[in-house]
Amino acid sequence: MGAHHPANGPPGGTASREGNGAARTLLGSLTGPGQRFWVLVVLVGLIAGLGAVALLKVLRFTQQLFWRSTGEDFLAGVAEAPTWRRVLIPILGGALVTLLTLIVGRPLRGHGTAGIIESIWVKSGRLSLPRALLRGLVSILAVALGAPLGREGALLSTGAASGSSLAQWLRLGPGQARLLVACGASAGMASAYNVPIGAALFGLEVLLGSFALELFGPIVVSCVVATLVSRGLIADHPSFVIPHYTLLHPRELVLAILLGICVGVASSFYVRGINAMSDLLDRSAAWLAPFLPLLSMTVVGVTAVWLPQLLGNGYDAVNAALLGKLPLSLLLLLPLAKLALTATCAGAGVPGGLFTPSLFYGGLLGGAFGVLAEQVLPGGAPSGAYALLGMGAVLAGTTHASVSAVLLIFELTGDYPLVLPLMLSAVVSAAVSRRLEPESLYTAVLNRRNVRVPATVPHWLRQEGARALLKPVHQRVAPSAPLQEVLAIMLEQPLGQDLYVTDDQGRYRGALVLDQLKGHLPDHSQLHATIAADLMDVRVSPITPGLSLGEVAARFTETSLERLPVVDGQRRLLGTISKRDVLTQGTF
Amino acid sequence: MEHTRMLHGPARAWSIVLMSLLCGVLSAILLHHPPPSVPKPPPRPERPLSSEERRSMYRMWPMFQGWPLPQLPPDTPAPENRTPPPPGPSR
Repeated sequence: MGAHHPANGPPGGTASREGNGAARTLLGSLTGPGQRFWVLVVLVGLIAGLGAVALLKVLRFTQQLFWRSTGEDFLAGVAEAPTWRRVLIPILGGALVTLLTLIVGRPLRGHGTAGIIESIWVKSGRLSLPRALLRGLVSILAVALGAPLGREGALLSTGAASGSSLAQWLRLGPGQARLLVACGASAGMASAYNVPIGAALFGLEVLLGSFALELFGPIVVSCVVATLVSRGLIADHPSFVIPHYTLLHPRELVLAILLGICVGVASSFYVRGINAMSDLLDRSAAWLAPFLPLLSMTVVGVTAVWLPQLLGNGYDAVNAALLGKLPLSLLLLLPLAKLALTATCAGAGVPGGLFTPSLFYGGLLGGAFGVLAEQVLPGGAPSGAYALLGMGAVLAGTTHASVSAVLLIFELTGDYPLVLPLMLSAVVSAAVSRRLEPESLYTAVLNRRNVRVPATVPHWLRQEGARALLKPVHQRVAPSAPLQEVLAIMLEQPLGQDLYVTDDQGRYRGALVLDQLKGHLPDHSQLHATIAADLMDVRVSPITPGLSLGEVAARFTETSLERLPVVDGQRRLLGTISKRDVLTQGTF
Repeated sequence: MEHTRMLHGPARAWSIVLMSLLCGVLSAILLHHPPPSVPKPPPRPERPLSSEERRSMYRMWPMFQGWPLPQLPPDTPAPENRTPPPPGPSR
């Protein structure tokens, strides 16, 4: 955590090294680590914002070059382009990804967020900046050339990697490094979509898994700085400009719940579809693996001949669904086709975000639900309102992060009056999706890499408690058992296993611990009259099965025993819990 | 594990050459035959607000529901419509 001083740093032979040293000295000269950290938080927000602006400029330049259109009229450019261009441009994107994959020598796959979570939780906040920059640039180019993935993946990765690099450069401790990574990722998201509140909560809920006030401040500051940069240099309006939808009838709250259930099922299908396709493509032949991006983008190009809405970020289709301009057939067909192509490209190794495709998927499914609802119960809110609810519900269902999903949609559309049904559908969708698919879009990827993210629910709310680790007691003795019997049983016990004394109703009375027995043995002349009740240690207090593992761990800190007895409300001995099991299987 | 799924040696080198050629050829074709220009869309509406909406925008937040609408100041009359000041008292 200490600042780096030039005296113990690498010798600076060049001007850039001298500049680096001066900047590091300046940061190091700030009096306390707290002050220095806050400067870094602002710096990370600034870098993430500027990086996002640069990447978005590259995106728009490439779109203009090949499609003669930019992000907001992208579909018009695609629709105007002749058929052969719709096929060849995505093929060029696939060839580019394949070429760079071959040059780098390792796949550039992934949507970035899972890697950021892994870096925060497992790798002490370490991320490779060159790899993130290359991956970000390739991702942006691929999206501009038609990959059905999100642009936000690049912005999150580069923001997070900038935070990590600053932390490594200044040799910060792992705690501050992790927080800077989260700050950078959240700032990247905030600047990508002009969503400072939603991105800050996304960082807390998804990346850090906590709403602790200590984490809240730095994340918010980074997001504010990055959003100010992007608002100043790009645009300052909600990403989707739509009419203000309002509830027209109380029954629409019921419809929102119903939509939440349907979209929750669809969200679990989305997560499983993405993972199943990745698993399938992972099993492809080794010689074929580097060419999968080319093949998948060829499929995208061919599909775009009939369904041009599937190319790229998908902004125009979502906007059309929000405005209620898409027919029911497309509202039903496009989400499934989008899922298939997104899963194929992501699994094949085309880098890009999965956040925007999930908005597409949810927005159009929600729009379809709205059209059907209008046919069954006419006179309600227009289908665009349900498209908005569907976007929020899919975000909550795929990320399992309801709070940030609601705020992200609120900021993306600027539509506050629908917040009540939006909250309902998001929470219901997250619950249904979690029930059907316990892993989120991000933790599913981490599970495949054998990375376990600690649980974020309070310890008193977790399912696993002392009962989950309970082991039965095979040997016990009565208080009146003679010493010979006690010694015979104890010598047969496995190492670390104590003997417990119970009365005739099975109630716990005390523990016989071999090490403690030596000091308590009475005079040798009395050995024949000694019984278990004379030797047992009544200070070994038992635990109850309702305790959380955190509380059990706390009890182990008060004793040197390897095992503790577990009793029920009537002090009947149920079994034992070992310290080793608590440490290896408990999630803290 | 991912490294083992990559090509090595001459196969990798030839693949890089092949992909470079493909990228070059496709870029040349696509850039030499640019698509027709798309008419510029109208400037993005910065959420047009009517005067009523402008006055009631904070009423969307439940905290402000039920509050009286802020009233706009009356328009300043044009100079030609302005009533002449009353004549000064005659002596």
